[in-house]
Amino acid sequence: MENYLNTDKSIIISAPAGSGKTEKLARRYIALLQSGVNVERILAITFTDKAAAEMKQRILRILKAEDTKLFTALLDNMPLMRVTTIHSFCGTLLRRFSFEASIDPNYRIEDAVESRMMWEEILYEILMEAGKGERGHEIFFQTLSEKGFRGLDYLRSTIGYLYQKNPFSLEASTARDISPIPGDIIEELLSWQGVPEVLDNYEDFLKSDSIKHVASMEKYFLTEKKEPRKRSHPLLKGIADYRDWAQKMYLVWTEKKVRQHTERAERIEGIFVQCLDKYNEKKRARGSLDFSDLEHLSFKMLTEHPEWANILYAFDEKTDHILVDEFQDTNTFQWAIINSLTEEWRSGMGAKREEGIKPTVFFVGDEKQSVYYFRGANVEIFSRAKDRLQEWLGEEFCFDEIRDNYRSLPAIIDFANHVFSRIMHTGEKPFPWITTYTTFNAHRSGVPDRGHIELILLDDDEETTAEAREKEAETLAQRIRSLEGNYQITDKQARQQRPCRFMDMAILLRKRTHLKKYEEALKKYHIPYVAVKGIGFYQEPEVAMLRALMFFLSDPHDDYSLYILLKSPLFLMDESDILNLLNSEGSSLFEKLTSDIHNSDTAATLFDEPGPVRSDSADKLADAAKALAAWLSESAFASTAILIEKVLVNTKAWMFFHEKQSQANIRKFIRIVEDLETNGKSIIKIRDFLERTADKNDEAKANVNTEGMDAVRIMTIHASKGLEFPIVFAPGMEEPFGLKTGENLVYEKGGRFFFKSEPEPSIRKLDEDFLIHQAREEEEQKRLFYVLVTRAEEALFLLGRWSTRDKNFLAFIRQGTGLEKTGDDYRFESDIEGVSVLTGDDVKMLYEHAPARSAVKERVEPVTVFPLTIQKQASWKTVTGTIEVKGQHGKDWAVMGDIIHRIFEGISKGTITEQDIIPRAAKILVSKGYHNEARDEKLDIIKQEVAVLKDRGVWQDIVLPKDDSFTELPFVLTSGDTIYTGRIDRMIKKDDVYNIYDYKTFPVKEDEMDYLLKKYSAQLRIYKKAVTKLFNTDKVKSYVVFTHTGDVREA
Amino acid sequence: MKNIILFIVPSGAKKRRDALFREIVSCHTSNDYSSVRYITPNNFVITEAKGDFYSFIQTHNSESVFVPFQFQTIRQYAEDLYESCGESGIISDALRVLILTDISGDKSIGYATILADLLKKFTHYLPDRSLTSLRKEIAQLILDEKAADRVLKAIDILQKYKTILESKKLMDREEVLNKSVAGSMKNDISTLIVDGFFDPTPLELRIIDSLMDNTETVLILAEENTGIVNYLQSQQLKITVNRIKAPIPRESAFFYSYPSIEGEVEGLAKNIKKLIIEGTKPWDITVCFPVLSRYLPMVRRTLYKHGIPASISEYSMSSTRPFIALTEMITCIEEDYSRSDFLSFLTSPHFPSIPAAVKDRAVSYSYSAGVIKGKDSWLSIKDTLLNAPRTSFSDEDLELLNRFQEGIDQVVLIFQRLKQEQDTLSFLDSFETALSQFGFFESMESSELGPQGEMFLDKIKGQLEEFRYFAGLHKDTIPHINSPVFYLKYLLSSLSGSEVNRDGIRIIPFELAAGCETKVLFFAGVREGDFPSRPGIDPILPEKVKKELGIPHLEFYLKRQKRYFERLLNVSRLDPFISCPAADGDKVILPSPFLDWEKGVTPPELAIFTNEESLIREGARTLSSQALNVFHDKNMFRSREAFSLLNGRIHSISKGYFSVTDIDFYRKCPLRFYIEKILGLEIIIPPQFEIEARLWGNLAHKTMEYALKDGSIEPDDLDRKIPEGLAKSLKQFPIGDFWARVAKEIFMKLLPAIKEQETNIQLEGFSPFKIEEKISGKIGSLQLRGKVDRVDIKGQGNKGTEAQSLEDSHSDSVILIDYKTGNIDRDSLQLPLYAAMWRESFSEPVEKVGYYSLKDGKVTWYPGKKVTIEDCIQSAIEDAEELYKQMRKGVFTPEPFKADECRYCYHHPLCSKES
Ligand code: SF4
Repeated sequence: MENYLNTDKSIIISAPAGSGKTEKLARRYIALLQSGVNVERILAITFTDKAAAEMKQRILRILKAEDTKLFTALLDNMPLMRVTTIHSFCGTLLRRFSFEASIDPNYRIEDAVESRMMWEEILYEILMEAGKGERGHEIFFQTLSEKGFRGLDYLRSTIGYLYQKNPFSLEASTARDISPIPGDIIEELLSWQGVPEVLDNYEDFLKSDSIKHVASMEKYFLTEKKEPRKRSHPLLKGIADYRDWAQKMYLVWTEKKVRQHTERAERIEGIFVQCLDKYNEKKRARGSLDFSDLEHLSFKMLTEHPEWANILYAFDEKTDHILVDEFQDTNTFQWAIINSLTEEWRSGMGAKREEGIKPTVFFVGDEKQSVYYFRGANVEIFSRAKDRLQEWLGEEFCFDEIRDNYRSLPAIIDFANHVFSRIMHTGEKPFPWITTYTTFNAHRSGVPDRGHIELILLDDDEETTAEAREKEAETLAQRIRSLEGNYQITDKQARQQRPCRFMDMAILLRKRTHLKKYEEALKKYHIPYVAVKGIGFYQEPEVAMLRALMFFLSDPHDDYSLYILLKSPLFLMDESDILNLLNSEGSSLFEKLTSDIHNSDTAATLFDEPGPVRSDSADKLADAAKALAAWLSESAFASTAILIEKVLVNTKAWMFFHEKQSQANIRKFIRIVEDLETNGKSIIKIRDFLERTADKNDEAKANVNTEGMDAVRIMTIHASKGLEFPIVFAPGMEEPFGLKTGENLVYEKGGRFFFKSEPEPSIRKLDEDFLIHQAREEEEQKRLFYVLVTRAEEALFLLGRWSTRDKNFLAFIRQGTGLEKTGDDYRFESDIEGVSVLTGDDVKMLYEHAPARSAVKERVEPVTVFPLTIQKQASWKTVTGTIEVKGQHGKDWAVMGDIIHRIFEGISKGTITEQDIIPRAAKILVSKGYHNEARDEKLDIIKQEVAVLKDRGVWQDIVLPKDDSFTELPFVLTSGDTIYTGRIDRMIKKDDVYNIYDYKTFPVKEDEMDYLLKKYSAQLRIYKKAVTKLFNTDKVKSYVVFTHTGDVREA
Repeated sequence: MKNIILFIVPSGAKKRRDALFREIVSCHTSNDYSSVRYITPNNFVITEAKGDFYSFIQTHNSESVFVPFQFQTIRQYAEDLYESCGESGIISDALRVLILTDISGDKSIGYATILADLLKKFTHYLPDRSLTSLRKEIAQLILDEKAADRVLKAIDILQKYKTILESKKLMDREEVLNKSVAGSMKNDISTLIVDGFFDPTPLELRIIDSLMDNTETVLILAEENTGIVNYLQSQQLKITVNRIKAPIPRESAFFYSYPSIEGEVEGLAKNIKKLIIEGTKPWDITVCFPVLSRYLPMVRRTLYKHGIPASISEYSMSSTRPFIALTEMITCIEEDYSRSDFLSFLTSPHFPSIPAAVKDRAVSYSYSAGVIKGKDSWLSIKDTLLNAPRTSFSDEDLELLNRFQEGIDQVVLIFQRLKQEQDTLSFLDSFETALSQFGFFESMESSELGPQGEMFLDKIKGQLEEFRYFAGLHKDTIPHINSPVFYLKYLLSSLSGSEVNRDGIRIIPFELAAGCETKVLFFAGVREGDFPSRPGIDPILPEKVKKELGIPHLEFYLKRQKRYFERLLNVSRLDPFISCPAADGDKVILPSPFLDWEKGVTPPELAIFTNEESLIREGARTLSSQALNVFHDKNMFRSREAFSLLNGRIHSISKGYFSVTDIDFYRKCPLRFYIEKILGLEIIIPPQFEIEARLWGNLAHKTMEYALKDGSIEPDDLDRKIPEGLAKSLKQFPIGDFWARVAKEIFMKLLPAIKEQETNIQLEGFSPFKIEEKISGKIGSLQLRGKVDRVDIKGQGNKGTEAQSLEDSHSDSVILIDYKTGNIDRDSLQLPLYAAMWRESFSEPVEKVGYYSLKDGKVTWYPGKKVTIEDCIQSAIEDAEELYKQMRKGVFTPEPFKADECRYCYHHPLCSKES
């Protein structure tokens, strides 16, 4: 049996790209099930929701094919299956421990934009409070003033940075590692020959603890770049050993600066904590958490409540086996959570072992593919976990390193082995965050080819980066064109060779910066493509147009948005139309537009009959005005999502968005608006949301279903993780990594987080923490390059401009292969089979000589829209007079009516007696919210009414029980196409005559009666008709009883 | 002798109630059926049964009138019964939650909701167990102390709740059900019909039982193998069983697998439309989802697109407009007039009595005034706007602004009153008054809302009544631990509504669909996780304890869903349309495990289209994809008329002289210049902080202006003059004490650098000569104007500016200085052009020009070492002339001088530039 299927052991598998890692995880899961483990006892953690779904799918597929019995059993238990992301696992845990974590058990997760908004508002509030001299305002005062006019900016951006980095999740603190300058240096400087006499404030500067005189002193010993001067300052020409002096002064300066900046960082931290407290308070009040709370609170739960395990036990929620996918991307936190969960087992005294259960962990990942450092992933954990488990579990643990690759052809594997064993470490790690490399072997079978690696290197002419990228993009497009239909690849399904198609190719980018350039080149060469997870959704023109529409709806005086609408395919106005418009009367563009449109013209006909708003009519402006006004009035009441749909159809703007991506973007936008609306957001709030996202660059464009589409895929290397392509192109090899750090840094050290803020680049350059951070980032670039290379199955094309600089992918290639350029020739240190170098001209030639292939354009046929005519059912109508009571006489009388009807019914039916009237009425009144005086007032009215009715004999003749009578007689009557239903208050048969009585309980004046009787005649007519038919008689009379006055009138 | 007939009907049986009706009609001589009580679990069954009975009567008796059954849901029955004899008041489910919140002392609703649910289960499933005995039993079942603690605490709260209700003579609806078991309504019921129950709870069974005890004839309509049938069969009763023939049951069905959620809903709509076109009546079509709320908005929208009417039972009202408006209003009471909450409230059409000026301008004014939150910011909008630098108001604008501010003041006044109400009852009174003052109730009657408005009004008023009830309830017993707003919010959020359209398709929850009669059934969204779904996590009672006690637990729910699924497969006459999406965006979705994954099929393309699709195709056939890049069009102005309009605009901006800053602006990016200057369009950017960079800039400029006004050049004087200057400018731009202190501190920190700089200038022999000097001149073919922040002159000693005469200073050279608080643009044409203009008007030669950064007190001087000032000026003139020429030609391309420009620009979407 393979090690990883041994369910008695805990295992870490290091599985390089292409080694079938996911399959192994699924098989391990199945092995556990097969060994009799209950499905709910297994926790499998994946990196994304998508991966979780795919994992479940894979497990079920395997079972279906190999173990039907288990398959059926698992299907039945699927809701118990715990294959999830760590976040949703934490989410569940927190609901279970809502008491301990003091959160609402039905908490909801704030979306990112909303929590960001909340955060910003809090900073504002705190600032305003500080402005009023409230708590801690001194900190603010210092922070704001010390950076000059940039103080507020600095504060906001730093607090924003901290918020985004989330260090509070591990209780970060500032790093205080200032070592005081030895006293003797100060002494030495103080008595430096020739200096004290020349420099004002020199002594003060050296002796004081503060940063006094720092700024004015700097020029004597620092260069512009804030490094020690080598050439002496004119004033200090004569002093002895200037360089030595400047160097020592520099040390003093550094110390002062570091102290100043550390204090500043502490202040910022103080402000941050204030914000954080308020933020948490707000979330608690709303019963919500934000995304990062999930991990943080779970971590706190597991570390601060030792009884959690017992509670889970009591709730029968035991986890005996934990599986983690993509283990290399685990962050410190997640590891702490997993660690806590397994702590109890490892302690050896765990109840599990007594029960005969041997808990296990199974981690699978590849250190070399850890590319989420920027998001907090900590690659050290991989080896740390390995050591720990070894130590704890001894024999019961094993570490497997897989060395087989089933994805790529030998040339690619050789290339990878060659390059990465040189740029990565192969032996013991000097630092835990350094990546090590073990070579692997090609195992893909059934392919006759060895594979192909091509370096396409362009000349390093003196061009701007943008120009160079354009040229490269063009070369890339030419190369694609020359390969498509010509280069042979092996079809995985058919297992035979065939010419490659666009869909077999992927362009992988390190960053999205130049995406547009590549897209333009592909367009130019008529190469179909899809940008997978392309970002910049909110920047797309169609989205900008719809956003402008939303802005306009929320504020018609928003001229800018209106301008966009007018220019957009909704109206397609000319610039001259708009300039013309500007000359009209009105304080806003909309006013100018509508100034001569009369209100009556803005009838909503625009919506009723789909037709062109954007007509060729002479008065385009008037048409636009009418349309806009109609949208505005509609948007006040109706669903905005539906309104957008209407707008796009009625203006025929849809015609302009026929491209798949645009269509999908529009639909995505509509969904966003719809979801916001469904979550109870007003148009203003939707606008707020859209404002926040307008310059948000990282929102992915809408997903376009690419299945079966013959198009080249473009995506980032990050997005390509987990995917594979027959042919991979990677441009921008010489693009610098740009690892410059800003002044703020949150970093992790020994499992704790620290915050540093160092504005002086020259100090940063020497600071260990900044340096390590940079080195780790560079290490990550190596891994990113590894991910890139290993995506390719059969061929890999690497493009770039020749460069001998460091810190780019090309430097890795040079270092790994010994590539050199002499004159126009490129040379490798040793021959790697299958690797070649081409120049831009070579590619051009290949392109020009490639057999011409004409693109087949899909024909689009027009379609007809069938109108739908809707039939009508016979309609049911309830005949009643009560509804208007509320409208005309107010709620009180409606309630009274109800009570009087109910009481009279009881009396007539004999279910209540006269003594019951008042208590019964009082009870109903209370249940309707009438208390004390309000209630008594109504009771008095009832008493009075009964008295009046008695006085006039109505009580005796009509209300009291009678033979041959009915109370609240319901009926259903069909008349023509209508089915009437109703209830007759009272019917008494007397002398063969059927007398119908309808109670009207509201106050009525004498002179209103005739009018009212007429009004109720329709109702009574139906009553009469019903009684006539029901009792098969024609002797029917109907009366209205005005209970307030005791009048009984025939109607 | 009691007569009990059990009709066993399988799902999917056509006219399933007819046998029962026949039985009834046969034993009634007249068409008066008022002595028949018809009990159902819910209103849906009532509506169905009513309709069925009507059709039955129509076809079998052809009677045009009859007295119908007494239809009641089991709850209505219990409540009617209770109301006729019971003593206590009945409280709603929502109130129960609120009371529990108060008792548990919890600040959130979630826990109380779980408690309420627990109580409900106890009452329904263990109707005759007391809480005390349950407490004991549970304590024994849970071994872990902490875990047991949770339940015991919960039960204690429930006990307290019960005691309080009793003392207040109140009862919740579950308790009413419980009480109704013993009672019976005094009336002349001869026949009982029980219909629609699948698996009644033990409590419901007891009610049915007691009803049966009290009635002569009992007819029961139920399905085989349901809780009710099993129960009846287990009793020692004499029952006539009448089995209605079943169609052959469907066991598993194929399902459509759509690539996306949108695709699924679109497919659903198209199939429905196709059916209707082919003659199916819309009301014969039933649609259901495992999680309806997830789909409802999209379904509504898609049905709208296809013109299909629908009837929707039960949806949460919280996303309807009037509700949103109310919530925003409540949030404003709760919080401190946060901009977007308050704006939502002010602009909502549901508060029509808010003055028009407020509605019209609230957004733009509050944005321009930089309101973020806080009463005071709203009350001072007018002042803020009037004080703002660089704004001017026409009389009309001023009038509008006045009306606006008055309106805001009124609204705030009402709110302030509301905010002060601490007592729940008086809060409610003021709240209702405020609602009428703002015209809320009125707006419900507006025609746009139609019958929905009436429903809203009823519901909202009903809920306010509930609230009043709650408020009056227990002042003395349990203090309200939350603000009135808290309770009100919850009450409103628990509202649900329905949209009835009898001529439309029916959209109903799947539990109801499983018991309905329909020709066509669509069961969509049948995905893993949703179906079967797991009930929410219960942090109180462990599953195994639930199982032990006999109350619903996980297994129970899963099994029940499975049974519903089996019914759904059979309920329709035609094969059901079952579907599941494969993805939502990039989220992968798996089909429900109840579905046979092998039977997922790709849905066929239907030739049913919407206007949208037809337009898209037309577009694809006739338009190229480039049509959208309106700004890339190099010929924005084609006609002669267009050019004259453009030149008119340019002229009106320049008023004879073109501003240097405008030329510079055009240079930075022609398109941006066009949008912001030629068209004068401003993007309304949400204000973030009141002290915006712009204000700092003004303050700094002014301070320098004041400090150097009298031409002093004695750097030591600056110690006094700068603070004085600042104090003066702060009067002009009031920013509050705190910020004023910050500003002072900033200047104090800056002072040494300024002094040093001034000393340097002085050392070079210059002293301030003119401040904020307007200059203009004809430069080449251009008429230019501008304003130099500062001119210093060499050689005139320290006389004040006023004393200088241009005549006698002709031989001295000057320097021109521009203050900057932001970044310095080294390519700017501004200073060289000023120098050129200076030369035109004055005789002093310009020695150099410089940007004086007020960030650090440093000056960047021009020209540098390699060129002369002459070259510098000359090339600036040439550039300016060329730029102007381009501008007049109508060249407004999105081509920024430096790519960096786009980073701080908001027009990317218009020009498709990356930021
Ligand atoms: S984004 Fe760039 S190109 Fe577009 S308008 Fe702004 S500055 Fe000009």
